[in-house]
Amino acid sequence: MGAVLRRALAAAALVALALAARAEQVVRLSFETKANPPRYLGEGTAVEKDRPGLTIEMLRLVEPRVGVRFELQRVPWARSLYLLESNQVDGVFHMSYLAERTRFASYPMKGGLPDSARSIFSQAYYLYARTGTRVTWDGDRLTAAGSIGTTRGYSVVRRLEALGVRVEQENDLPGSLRKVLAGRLDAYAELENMAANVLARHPEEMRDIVKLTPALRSEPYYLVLSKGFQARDPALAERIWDAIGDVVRSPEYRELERKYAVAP
Amino acid sequence: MPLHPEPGLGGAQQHVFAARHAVTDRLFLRAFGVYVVFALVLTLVLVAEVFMSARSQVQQELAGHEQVFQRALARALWDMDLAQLDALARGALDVPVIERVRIRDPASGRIFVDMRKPSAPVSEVPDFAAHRFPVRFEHASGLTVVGEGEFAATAATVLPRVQRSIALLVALAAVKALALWFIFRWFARRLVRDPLTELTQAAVAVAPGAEGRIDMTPATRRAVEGTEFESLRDAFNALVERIESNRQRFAQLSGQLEEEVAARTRELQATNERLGALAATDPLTLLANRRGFESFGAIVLAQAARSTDPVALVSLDIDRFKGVNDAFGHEAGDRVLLALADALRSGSRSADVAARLGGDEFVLLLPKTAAAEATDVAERVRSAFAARPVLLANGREIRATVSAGLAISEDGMASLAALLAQADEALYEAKRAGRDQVRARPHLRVVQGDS
Repeated sequence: MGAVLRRALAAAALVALALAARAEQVVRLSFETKANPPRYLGEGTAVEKDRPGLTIEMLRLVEPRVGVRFELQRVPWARSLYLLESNQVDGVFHMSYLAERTRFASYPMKGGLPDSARSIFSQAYYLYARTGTRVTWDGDRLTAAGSIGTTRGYSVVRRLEALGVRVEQENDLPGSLRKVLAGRLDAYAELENMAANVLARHPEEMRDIVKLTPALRSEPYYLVLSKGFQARDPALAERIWDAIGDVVRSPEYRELERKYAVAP
Repeated sequence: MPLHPEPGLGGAQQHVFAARHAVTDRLFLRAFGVYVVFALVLTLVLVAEVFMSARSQVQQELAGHEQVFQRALARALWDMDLAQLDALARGALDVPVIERVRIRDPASGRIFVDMRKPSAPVSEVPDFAAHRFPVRFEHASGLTVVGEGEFAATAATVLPRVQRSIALLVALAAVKALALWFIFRWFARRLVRDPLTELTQAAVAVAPGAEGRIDMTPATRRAVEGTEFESLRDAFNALVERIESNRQRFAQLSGQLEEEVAARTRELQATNERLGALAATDPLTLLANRRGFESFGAIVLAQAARSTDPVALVSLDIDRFKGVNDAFGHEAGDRVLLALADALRSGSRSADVAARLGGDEFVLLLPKTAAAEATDVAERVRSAFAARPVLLANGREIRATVSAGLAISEDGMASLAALLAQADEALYEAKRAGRDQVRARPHLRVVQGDS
């Protein structure tokens, strides 16, 4: 029995592998070079092996469900937008919804609105200023702010402009926070996780940086796909987004959250 | 007549030998024309080379500037910091040689920056010299090509650099051509035109018949020493010698020819005379014919008229000659005629003229002869003819007789025709009187005219 069964099993496995390989489609995704713990860790273009980040591991769970393989690369945020716009990548994460971005980015939609049920997570922007700053933020009005810095291409740029401040788009977060310390920027708007990461790494230097509450903005973040990708295979796009919604609500994802020590 | 060559060619004819175009000028014009085309092409090649090397130099400079801007451009493109990219492009345009900056992404075709120096005219070809390079961003995971940069210079940048070199090249080519013109012209005239002109003049000046030698002036002789011109001069001289010796030989030959012609002419005259005599002779009897008789008769009568000597004419006719012909044939008739001729020859004297006027009609003209002597001669002939039988070809012998009429001009003043007419009358009388006899007409004293 043993020999025959083993052979049959091996053949079946081979067929399954071949089918999987054929079905497996490569989807090129890009994300930022800044660390955004726990969503993705490490700075620069490298993707960490052991602890790449919560979102990266979540995507690894999505891959077999959809039958695709994600190919990841890290580039600056603004470059991610450019690559998406010029269809040089198939998708970018994490992106909040802005109507103007729908020109080049496809979001999971439901009833004409972005479907937050299929978002990856929600995160908040906060303003970071120097201790004793004159800048005040009450959730509606921003006062005494001359120029506010933020990362080039972030959705919060529009939000800040709507609040009537001059926005300086920067590329280097620690450098920008140093500009805040030096008084060259009145405040810096940044995603909470990212800012926290830098502040934790430079506790002495960044001692005088304070986070202004409440949050400037808190929004769901998505994996967006390029217009070209969606046009080529709209069903696959939907399957990917569906799988993300499913995985985020799955027990495996709970496990991952525990691994990265994120409070439920 | 010996042939004499034309006398020396005079001034009026000399212009025929003056060339309308100097061979040196023609040779030089063609050679120079080819040279100019050649030099033009070479100069163009050199100018192009100068231009190309200036261009490659500019290209190298542009490449050098790439090194300055590469990292900054890569950083700005990586961050998609378009403001920074713009600032960098403006900085690059501040470099004198860079007149145009273009930054694009070959992957998407998007052009981020395409800037031109405000001073660079838009109409100029911007890509005269261009340096295109990939913009590579270096990061922990390696190199990423984030775009393509291009620094370009217009022709306006290169032109001022090469102007001087090109001007020098063109000027040098012109000077070379000019120098070649003068040098070639001088030597061509000295070595070709002058010797040719001198040889022509010398050849024209050679007087035929004289001891002509063609030569050149000492200066020209030195210039062409050992060249074809010397051979040409020697060939000329050999030709002149040959012409002179031929001329002499020709003169000698033409003298001989003249003598020959004279000898032939004499021969011809003798032949003519013989032919004349033949024309005056009766071919059968070899006596004078009517023409001969008239010629001799005229001479005899002219002499008789001058000397007023008497002259007698006997007219003879063979009796019944037609009967002989009819009975024995013409051959027999001819034998009878020959027999009468023999009788006339033997019966007459050396000064007498016997003639056969035609058929069986014979005459005998007797100068300085009076009636009695003339009658004797006539009688002698008649009797001798009648006495001698004629042997025919078939062996038969026949006898024939002859009748004779005699006319005499006692003073020698009668005309031949008148004498002949009277002799014939006397002959008829003899025929009427029974034939084989001589009858005489009364003496003629003066005969008026020929009728």
